[in-house]
Amino acid sequence: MAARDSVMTPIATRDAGTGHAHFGRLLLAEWTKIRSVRSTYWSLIALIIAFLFFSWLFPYLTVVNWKQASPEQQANLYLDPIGSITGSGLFIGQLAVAVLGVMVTASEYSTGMIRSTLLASPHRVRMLAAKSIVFTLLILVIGEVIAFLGFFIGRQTFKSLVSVDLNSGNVREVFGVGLYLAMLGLFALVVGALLRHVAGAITGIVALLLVISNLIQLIPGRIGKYLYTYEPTNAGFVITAKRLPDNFLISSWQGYGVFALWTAVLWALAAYLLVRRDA
Amino acid sequence: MIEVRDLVKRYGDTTAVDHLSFAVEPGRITGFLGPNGAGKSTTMRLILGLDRPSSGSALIDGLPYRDLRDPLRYVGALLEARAVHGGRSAFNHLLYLAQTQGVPKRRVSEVLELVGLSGVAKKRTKGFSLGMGQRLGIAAALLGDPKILILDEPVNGLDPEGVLWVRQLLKALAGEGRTIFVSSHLMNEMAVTADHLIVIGRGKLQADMPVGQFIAQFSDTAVLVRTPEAEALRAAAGERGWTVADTDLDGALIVTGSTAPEIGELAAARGLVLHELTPQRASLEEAYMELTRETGEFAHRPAPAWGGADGRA
Amino acid sequence: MSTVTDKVPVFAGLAPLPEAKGRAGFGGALRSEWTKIRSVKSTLWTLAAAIVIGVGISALGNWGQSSHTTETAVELAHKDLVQRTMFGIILGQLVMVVFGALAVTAEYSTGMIRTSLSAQPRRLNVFFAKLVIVTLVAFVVGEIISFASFFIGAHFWATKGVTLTLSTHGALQAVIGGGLYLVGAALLAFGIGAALRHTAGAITLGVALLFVINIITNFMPTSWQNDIDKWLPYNAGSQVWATQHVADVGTSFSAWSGFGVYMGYAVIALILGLWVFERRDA
Repeated sequence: MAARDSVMTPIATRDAGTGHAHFGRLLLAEWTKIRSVRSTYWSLIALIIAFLFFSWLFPYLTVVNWKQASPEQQANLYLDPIGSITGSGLFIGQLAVAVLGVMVTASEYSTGMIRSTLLASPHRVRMLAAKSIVFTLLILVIGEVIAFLGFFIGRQTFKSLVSVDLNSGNVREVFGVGLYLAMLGLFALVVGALLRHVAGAITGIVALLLVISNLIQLIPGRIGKYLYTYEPTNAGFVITAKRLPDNFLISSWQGYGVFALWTAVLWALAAYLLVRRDA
Repeated sequence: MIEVRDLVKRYGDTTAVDHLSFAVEPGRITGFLGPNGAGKSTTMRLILGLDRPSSGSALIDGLPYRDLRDPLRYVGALLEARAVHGGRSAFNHLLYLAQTQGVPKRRVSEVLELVGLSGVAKKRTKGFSLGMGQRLGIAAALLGDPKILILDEPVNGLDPEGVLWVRQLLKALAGEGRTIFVSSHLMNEMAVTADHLIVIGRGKLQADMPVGQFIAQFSDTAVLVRTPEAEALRAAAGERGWTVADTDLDGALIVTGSTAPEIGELAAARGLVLHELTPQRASLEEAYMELTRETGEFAHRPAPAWGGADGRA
Repeated sequence: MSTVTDKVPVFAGLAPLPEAKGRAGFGGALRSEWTKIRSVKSTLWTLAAAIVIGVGISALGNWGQSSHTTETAVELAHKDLVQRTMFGIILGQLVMVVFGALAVTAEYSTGMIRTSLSAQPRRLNVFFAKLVIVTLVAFVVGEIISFASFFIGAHFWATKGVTLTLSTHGALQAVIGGGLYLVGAALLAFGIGAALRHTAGAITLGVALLFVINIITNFMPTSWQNDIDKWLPYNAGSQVWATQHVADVGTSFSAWSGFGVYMGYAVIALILGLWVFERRDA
């Protein structure tokens, strides 16, 4: 091909680089995509601020109102101080992560950008893998940072009432915050890839996360316990909890494994459909 | 080179692309024409691996698009529909595309400069006009310095200067031996840009030939005849079944359905005086309108043998 | 230029239009908003999903609870079974939030807002026409959900010897209230959608206000919960579909004052939305 006399000069052909598309480049490209839209910043700022703020607020309110607190609440604090620090922030923060995860994939379709993406990386499964890795790692890192920051903020706030120290017995609860958020983000990303519709996918994930996961508890009998335990977000959430819910049938790490398994199965389905469907 | 072989795409009951076969050769500009809904964009999406064919194949130098390594280094494409996240800046849009192909970052600035978008490179594309969006699409197509360009309505929304620039760019790129496949509804633009034409209607191939041949084949040959014996010529032509029309010019007639030599021979045989005998050159637009008008009619009949296209499909 | 406005040639083949009246009025805006809502498949799907999910969850839940309860008919009669029959509303409100938000935000994400506002530049007309249509549609869908849930649930409880009819104390008001509650959810989301003009953002905020806030206040000290809990949108609004007004923590509003508080939030969101809709460039 003509190089020196190209009409695209002053752009010389060699500037276009050489070599082949490999996975590292896809990772870099997906990282560029994620960091170059505002919704990422909005969601992550909401996550960080809400989580850290609540990690301070509720311990603070507890300390200030200690005398009026019910014996039950007082007992609960001594039993599970970390849950009192991270729990509230996690409930609001998970919403931000879920919505962002959905947007990472579904907004490619609503904007039509998926066409550009697939022209550049027609190996669709590799593209999905790159996207998944970049986003999951991002949430994992941010999740762990805010988990430990929030923990230290809460610990300082609680100092007059109870001293909370990290040890091998409870570090999982703090570490679990980032683990849970990262898996939830990936789960939401997959839901977005499956449904390819922002509003639909957000509805689906919110319904599962906030409504169905709770309503399942009302199903009586052993079936109810199974459904409750193996519902993906319930199964995953216990990685952050000191005590397992009464109707929970497996251990924290097993629960997290169940959540990961759900995510993996849906990921495989999303990859299959991505290859099969017209973009 | 792009090769489309017996390509079929169905969406439910509708057949958007119907056993289409053609080849787009390097070193020239191949125009891709057809009425709205003829299947042009679908064909391009199939070539680009965005949609899966129901049957048949579309190959780029022998490989399906999905099997190309560094596809943007090979094929640059501009699609009709917007393919950009409005919240992302033009620069970042091109940057992530470049990163997938190992194209250096400065190339992004260079193509933005080339299409005249340097000034708005950091702006979110949400606020771009149609023409600016189109320039960004062209920049994306040129990003990997591809040897094949597939452009769907590239001059759509461009200002006259932009139209001229695209025309010159495409000609120069074709001159370098690259393959240029471009669709457009602007016949006058196509007439001065394209070397070769592929015309489809209702998903089927209608014509695949050089522009000159297309115009000759799909327009009625018209001949301007000036004679002092207009009525006699009119009668003689009528006997042969040719059509004669008056013109504004004094004593000048337009004869269609015949050729200049035939008319000259007829006049000589009848002893009629001719002052002028000039074949009229039809425009691409006229030839295209003629073809698509007939396509519309034929669409309601069982597929007839169609001159020019039938031998290849 | 000559004046040609009096006699405009008619397009070939098209019947002449009636004389322009010079006012694209509220009636026209209403009709056009109705056409917009019913002609988009995703809206119809959303509403159908709201009904199926709302009624379905109610039916499942009441079937499960009634078949497993160990309580006697007398004990059950003291419970708020009327509210329990409609518990699919908890999920139905989520779909209503999506419906309300999309009614506005889809105009922006598709760019259709430009067409809408060039057809009807008086934005107040567009906003209120949309509001009226969304309210009516949400009301019809909401009442279908609450009534269907109630009758299906009553059927299950009848097998346990508890008779629930609309003439049961407070039942009629609560069942109508179930539909009204769902209208409130749609309107809250409508206002947020108009204010944010962003689908994901509007749905998220709506969900945060109706669901997440309730979970978070659980972490508050009891004394704070006593004061705050009843003011939360869900806690206040759900009184209108209850026959008993007691709270886990603190006190609760009565049916209509709770509903008033709940609609107050919706009105605040709507005013914010209207302000943005009227002022900002489309």
